[in-house]
Amino acid sequence: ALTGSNMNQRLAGMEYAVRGTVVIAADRIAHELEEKTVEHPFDHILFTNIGNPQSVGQKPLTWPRQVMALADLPDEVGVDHPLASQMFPSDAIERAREIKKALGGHGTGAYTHSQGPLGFRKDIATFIENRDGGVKSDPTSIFMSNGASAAIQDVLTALIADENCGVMIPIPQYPIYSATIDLLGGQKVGYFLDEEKGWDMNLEELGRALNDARSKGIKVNSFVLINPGNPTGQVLSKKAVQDIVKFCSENGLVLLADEVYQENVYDENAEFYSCKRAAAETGLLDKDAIELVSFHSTSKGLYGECGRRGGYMEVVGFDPEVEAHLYKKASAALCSGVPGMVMADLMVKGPKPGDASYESHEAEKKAIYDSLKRRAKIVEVGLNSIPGFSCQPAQGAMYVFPKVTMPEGAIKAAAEQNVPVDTMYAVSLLESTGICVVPACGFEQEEGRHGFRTTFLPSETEMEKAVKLFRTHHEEFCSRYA
Amino acid sequence: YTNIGNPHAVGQHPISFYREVLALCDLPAEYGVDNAAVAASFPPDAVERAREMREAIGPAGTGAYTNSQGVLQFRQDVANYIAERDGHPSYPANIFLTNGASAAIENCLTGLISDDRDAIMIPIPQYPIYSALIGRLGARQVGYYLDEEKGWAVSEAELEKRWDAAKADGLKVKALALINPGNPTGQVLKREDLEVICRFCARNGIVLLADEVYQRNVYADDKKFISAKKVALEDPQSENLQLVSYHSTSKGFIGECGRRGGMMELHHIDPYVQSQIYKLASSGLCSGVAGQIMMSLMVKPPKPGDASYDTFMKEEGDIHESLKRRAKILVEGLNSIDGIECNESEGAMYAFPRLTLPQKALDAAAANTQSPDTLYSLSLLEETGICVVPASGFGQEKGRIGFRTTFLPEEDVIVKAVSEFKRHHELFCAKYADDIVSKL
Repeated sequence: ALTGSNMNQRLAGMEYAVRGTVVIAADRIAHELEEKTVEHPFDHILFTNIGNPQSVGQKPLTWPRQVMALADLPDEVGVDHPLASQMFPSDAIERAREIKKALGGHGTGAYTHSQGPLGFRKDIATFIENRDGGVKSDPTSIFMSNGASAAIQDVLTALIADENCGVMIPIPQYPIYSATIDLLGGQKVGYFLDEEKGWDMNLEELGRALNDARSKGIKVNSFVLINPGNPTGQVLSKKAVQDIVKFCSENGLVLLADEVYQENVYDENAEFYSCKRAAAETGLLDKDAIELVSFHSTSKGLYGECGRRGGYMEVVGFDPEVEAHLYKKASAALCSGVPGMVMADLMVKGPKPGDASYESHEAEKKAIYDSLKRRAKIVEVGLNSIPGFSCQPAQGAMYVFPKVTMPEGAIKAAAEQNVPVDTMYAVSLLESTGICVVPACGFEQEEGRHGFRTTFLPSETEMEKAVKLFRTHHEEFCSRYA
Repeated sequence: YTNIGNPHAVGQHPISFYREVLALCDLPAEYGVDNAAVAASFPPDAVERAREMREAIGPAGTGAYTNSQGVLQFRQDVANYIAERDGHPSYPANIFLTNGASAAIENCLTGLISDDRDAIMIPIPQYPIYSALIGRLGARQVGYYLDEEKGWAVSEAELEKRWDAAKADGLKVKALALINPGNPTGQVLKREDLEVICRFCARNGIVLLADEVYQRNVYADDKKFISAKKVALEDPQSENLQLVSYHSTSKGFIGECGRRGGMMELHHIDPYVQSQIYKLASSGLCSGVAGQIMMSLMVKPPKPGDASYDTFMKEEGDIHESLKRRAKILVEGLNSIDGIECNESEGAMYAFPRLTLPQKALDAAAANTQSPDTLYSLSLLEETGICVVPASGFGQEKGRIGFRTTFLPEEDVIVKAVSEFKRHHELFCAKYADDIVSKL
């Protein structure tokens, strides 16, 4: 029989806290509240564990949903229906026709090219070129995928040849990296971000991490950068990005640039600057001196279309043989979901000025952006006002990652229970307030540091309430474990 | 293109009702279900079903990550379908909605394989997702040969033979993959055949992976699909069978391949192992919501009396009847060609003929370091424009030569293809004439 001891031990050992123990407990409690089987001191769970905007009140953008519906509907009940213009704006109808054409007239139900339809990839390439000040992008090196997650897993599969292969990852990081590296049997080589400097990157630290690993015989071959950061929320300066690109080039590291939050930048003094642009502007691209893969997704930004599973990666400077194997891997799953591909195409190419939906679409996006910006501040300021909390500003992304000073008694109790104190704290928070966060240990951090990650995605009212609850819970927790 | 089971790419139409519901699920209410013009543009049952599904998904709508196993109500719909199909209960907690059956198969094999002495038994011929994944995950494949002379039957003797050989090699067989109806082989297994397989797996304590994505594609009048789960539950000798069953929205009569809708049902899987499979699924967050919606629609079609029922039955019925006709046209056509023999396609979407080629062709292939079926398939492509898959891509008996073709293009295209297959075969054999080798 298949049991815990003869199944894949790497899977058994892998951890993914974003939907781990605390969240499983929260789901149970949510069910108890719904069925009214158990009493709790709150009437609903506030899920701030995951960057899932539409599950906590963010509305979908209208125009993309209209285009998608028309792309899915057979022509006679959709784009060609006599009443179509009464239900849908003209630019949605027109764009749906273009999409159907890009799908070769087969509609959204057929498997596409394994990298995604060429027409969509051309739109993505144009988006990248416009974003990066004209640096050329090649549609044949773009791979559309079921969210950025699937593309990341594919690249790591190619990179990790054996148990000695090492991947540099930020500490703290989004745990798809640690989980996938563990599952594939590779080595995680952590480089610490500097919390006191707003989670900035430090070249010396990068060198230290790399040299330590190499001296232990680890074949470090790649480097993960998450910019804007998750869970840390920093937006790197142009110089920092260029330093990293140069570091990777000099050390023969494939750079994995997770840039899914590139449209979530709130700090007025910060600007997203892509690794690809850095590679171009440092001359490394022309010299073919960098191997880079950049990831993007429809799940974040202002679209928040997580359930659509839209994403892509752009591969630059890779050996053609490796790229052929990446194609082969994609082809073994045939293609990613067409709905996600359509959404990605719409995300990179929205309505143009003068189009019927342009103004309303821009207004919808702006409202979401402005509100995210406000919420980022509300939560950062609110948490920093709690004694024992220290929270770096969220320059971008969707999260804050406060450092929380734990009372000695809690640290002891956690050790006795053989659970991380962060988990014990998060469970206590959940049980007294209904707020579901992710323990900081799920992202890895400096030894002796404690805390959690929370999103600021629920409504402004909910987040203001949440800040108060964070405070009262912390006071109660500290006196309980004094 | 007859290389891939991708119906919409070769002219099959989507089921209207399903696309209508899907659109209404995605559209914000004021532009969709609540719009003044909706009644004039959509049938009432599509609107009602969309409302039900929107309620099941919750206020978050189709843009949010769902539960990592998929929306509970949709899993319940699948469970209800399975229970009705088999006459035995099915539970949503044991169901995972996935990006196509492919993703579910990958999840299971990842959970099963711990080291390079682990082995998975796979049918020869098989659909190459199994060989590909097993290879990538570093385990070993142990083929059990289907008997072409006996309509691609599975025998207990063959299973035992392969098991013993694996053990002698020091391999640890963890699971057996079954494809029913078969791909590329198209056979539909009888209860007795399934009992042999279920008992073999139960007896040896290995997991049965039952790939049943073609469960609705049955054309032979004397055959019916019966699930591995039903057989196992009704057979005392299969009592302890550990089983995972797969289904998909890509096949059947709806052919929604690009939607990436799929599912697996776990049966008698160790609860800890199941929790790890959950964990793996959670690291990809969830499968595409559109695929989940399509899976629920597929297992819960319009009912008699519903506004869309007649149209739906006609659409599905037409596709079913046409597939049945096309299967017959193709297989009979191939069999009428001298040097080509083809078993009946009792189910699925493919014909898997066997070729007799002149010795000189075999020599030419060897000189090119190609398999003879690759040489043949390339020649076929260049001469006729028909794109098939060489049989060597699926595994086959040593010395056998052939290819897999679908019968998905429209009927008149299939008719024409048959004459093109014939014309090319004659040309090819003439080109490599002398010494027709007898089939090995």
